[in-house]
Amino acid sequence: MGNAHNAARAPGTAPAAGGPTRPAAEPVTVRVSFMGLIAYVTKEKELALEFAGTPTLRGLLDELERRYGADFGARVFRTSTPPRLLQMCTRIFVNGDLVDDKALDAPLPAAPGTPPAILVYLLPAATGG
Amino acid sequence: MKDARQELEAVMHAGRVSGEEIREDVWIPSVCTICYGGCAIRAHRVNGTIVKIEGNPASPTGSGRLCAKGIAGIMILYDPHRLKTPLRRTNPQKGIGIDPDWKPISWEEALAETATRLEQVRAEDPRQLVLQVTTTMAPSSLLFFTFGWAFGTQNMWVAGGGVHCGNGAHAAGGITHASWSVVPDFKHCNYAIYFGASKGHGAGHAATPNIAQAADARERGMRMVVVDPMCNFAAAKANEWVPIRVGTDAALALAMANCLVNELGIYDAEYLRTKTDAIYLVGPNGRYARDAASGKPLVWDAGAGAAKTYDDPAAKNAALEGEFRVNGEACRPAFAVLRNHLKKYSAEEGERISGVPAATIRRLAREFGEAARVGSTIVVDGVTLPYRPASAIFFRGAQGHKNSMYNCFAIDLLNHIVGAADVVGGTLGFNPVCHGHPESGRPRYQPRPDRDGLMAVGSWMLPHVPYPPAEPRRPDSMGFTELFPLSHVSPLMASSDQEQWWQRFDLPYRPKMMINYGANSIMSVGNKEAVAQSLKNFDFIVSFDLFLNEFSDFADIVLPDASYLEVFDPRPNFPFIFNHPAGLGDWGWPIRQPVAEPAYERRSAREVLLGLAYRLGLGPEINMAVNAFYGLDGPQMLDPAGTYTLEEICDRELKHKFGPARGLDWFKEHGVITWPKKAEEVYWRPFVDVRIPIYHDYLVELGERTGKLCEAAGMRFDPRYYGPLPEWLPCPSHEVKDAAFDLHAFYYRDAIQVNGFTMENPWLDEVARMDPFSYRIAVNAETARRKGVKDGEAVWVETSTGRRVAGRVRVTEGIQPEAIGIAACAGHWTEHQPIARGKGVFFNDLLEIDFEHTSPVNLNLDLCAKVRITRHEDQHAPHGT
Repeated sequence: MGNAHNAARAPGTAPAAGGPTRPAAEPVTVRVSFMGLIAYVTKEKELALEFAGTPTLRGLLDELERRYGADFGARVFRTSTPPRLLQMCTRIFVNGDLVDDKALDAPLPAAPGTPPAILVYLLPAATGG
Repeated sequence: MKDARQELEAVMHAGRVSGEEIREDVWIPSVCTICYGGCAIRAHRVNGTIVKIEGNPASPTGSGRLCAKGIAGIMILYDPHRLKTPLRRTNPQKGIGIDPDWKPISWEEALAETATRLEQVRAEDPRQLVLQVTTTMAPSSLLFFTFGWAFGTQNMWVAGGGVHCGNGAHAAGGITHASWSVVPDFKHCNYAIYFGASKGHGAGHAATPNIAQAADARERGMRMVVVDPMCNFAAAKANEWVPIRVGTDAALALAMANCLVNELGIYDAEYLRTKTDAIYLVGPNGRYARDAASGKPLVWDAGAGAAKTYDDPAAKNAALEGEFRVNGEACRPAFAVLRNHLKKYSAEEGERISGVPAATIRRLAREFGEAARVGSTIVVDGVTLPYRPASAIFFRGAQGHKNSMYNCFAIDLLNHIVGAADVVGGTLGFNPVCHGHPESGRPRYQPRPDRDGLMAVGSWMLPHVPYPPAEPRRPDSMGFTELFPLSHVSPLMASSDQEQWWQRFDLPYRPKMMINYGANSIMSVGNKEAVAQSLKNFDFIVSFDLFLNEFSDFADIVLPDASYLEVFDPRPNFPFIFNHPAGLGDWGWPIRQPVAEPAYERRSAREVLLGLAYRLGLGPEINMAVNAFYGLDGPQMLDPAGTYTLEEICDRELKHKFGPARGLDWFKEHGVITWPKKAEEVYWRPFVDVRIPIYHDYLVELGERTGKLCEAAGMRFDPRYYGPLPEWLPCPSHEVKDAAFDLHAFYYRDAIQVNGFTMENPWLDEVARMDPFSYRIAVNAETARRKGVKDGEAVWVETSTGRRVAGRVRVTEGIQPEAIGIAACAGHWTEHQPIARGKGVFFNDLLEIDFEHTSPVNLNLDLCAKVRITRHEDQHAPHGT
């Protein structure tokens, strides 16, 4: 009989619905809230950043790492070298939706019905001790 | 004790005076939490009094059955020795057995002082707060972790429950089965070999469903072999008990693997080729050979005569054997490297290390390999699936050592060699895949491949997942889990050498305040002196508890917690990887709800903590932490600016999972929602495109990075634990040279006394006193004769480092001659638990808590000790009985 170890796959999860995106040239403000342990690293709880065009989540996080240093990056990204994926114990919400690695390289969606801004909550799930 | 029992009975019958009108007669569905079983229950309440607890047949989590512990839950509800009011110490001196001189205070006083202290700590450095949590209420204690996230500390741990029971087995289970632990597919398995495990024969995850399934399997003819130093609960029901030298499971398993692969030629080539990294090429540096452009691991396509990336469609028939030149270097498939590695674990070498005869090792390997029926298939629910009715499982016994990771990997390797992983009849993880309720599609998760095609879990108990491990970095937590990313819980939280390591790594703060929930770390971790010393770090300790206990001697404020029969919990059996029964059947999501109102001034610790978070101005943080932890998004997401009760959170969690019509009110009435499992969920391996490592390449990189950081700080690092293939490495107890200390002491989880607070239950105490071993020290009959010790006599059990405990001997043929076995959780001395006091032996007092006795891979504490036994000078004292 054929190799039964690779049977037909179960249907995968549907990709997260994207929201409307903006023309590249229009400036976009991203509001970021830092919560919990990461706020101790950033020394501030909120930040508004303006981008020329809609950034990707990765672009936003790279900018935050430039601003706050390697300690921030170490808590957000799993590795220091590419491919840099998210720490599995970091939780990021974009406009109320929990996102994962799949959202890293897509443009951040606009928040529906609000002024042009995107809210990202960064909440590193503390572990250990 | 007799007075306490009479007192309890009087309380229970208070509402049932003969002739009283029955105003209320209801059955309320909920969930037990006395052990990790999480069995669904129904509580019978008459006129406000709980008169009986039994299993809930409507839920697959228990299937209507309930063990003695669950039934005895009534005695916890009405125990007059439970805390009734908040207490504040008036004696500033803290120490083991030193009376805090408690005075009752109001809740407002307690919360005001607690909040003030928390504000001070947060202003200085929130990392100074430590949260210590019992594992017994594991799924529901997680509101404590969210408090930690909101507050800004990563210093949280689960005391003994973590460093004893999980760092090895759970990490290994996660890496190779995407689950917290593993169990035979009882419905179809024909040959199960247990290494230090008791699934289906004792307490623990999905206990009562497993017990029923295991009994049915034995009746059907499943052959059960138990490898254990002691002929205990599982071995007592088995076809064969294989006595093994304590802590040598890896040696036996590797010898069996060698027999399978190199002597019998039994292995599932197709499974290895398609579902593991057996085909990944390994270079002379011991690392995967990788494609220069993509970085992906390479395999050898024999047809093309060229190396290709592992996910190249042409790599279907990639080589398992041979040597090939890749990138200018000689490379071999990982399977070939493994096959060669196994040769040093001959059956004779296995005998030398484990004490199991070589002939037995060969026979077990042959029986296991033949039972696996490599290449066969079976149709289940209309789906053709691989059929491998053989299973090798591991748990607490095998993993309770410094070498826990390799012990577990070695045992599990047997499953992967024959392709018996998460397929029909084989070894199943607890529910690594769920497609969700048919109407809501939730909860939905499954493992997914990482960059190397290796499996990352779809669901986990904590955000810190075992694979892929985070890059090690210089730690800034007290337990150094960032330095050892395969660990979950760290004994450095209470170790005797913690200050030394904190200084070496320049930890910029010290712990100041602790909030404890139900954990008794003085007894649950190791020797009490080390833990007591670590608790001196803290200026202030607040403890939520059911009873005053040995840990309470170090608390400043004690708060009376509501018991599991008095609280809400929306997810007592979720994540499903923890204590939902595995295998075919139904999914069940029950809730825990109060069957009685908390009496006196008791309050739910979770509600108190939620209120404290809001009181501290951490509303947005705790709300987002709850969203993050419970995965709440969309309309059920907590508004960061809102204020919520625990019931409202429960309602949102349930509606998020099952739709707006099935919130808390629906579940209060129905108790549980069920839906059928699909074959593709249970036997998921063929349907999910992931591989598991049999060659742990990632360990090599981890070892290099961790090693550099350790050495830079002057921390001795042992690279032997970071090789890519499992080895048997001796425990510290195996390296004690003094011949006077000739026995290995170990402990085991009793089926009745499963944690600290069960010892206080008078019904369970009565059952335990009927058991010949619960409160005694099991010693081999010949060993006892040789040492001149008789059954019932009192002895000292003493380690080579001078630690000792006393107890009475139970002589038995059912223990390996070099081992002595002691049931866990015993040996209480607090006067506040009169039933528990003086019963059994405090095994943990024999254990060292330091880095030397800790796994340098996953931070599991080493749980065996080399001891001698000598006759006690006082034969008249009870000594635990």
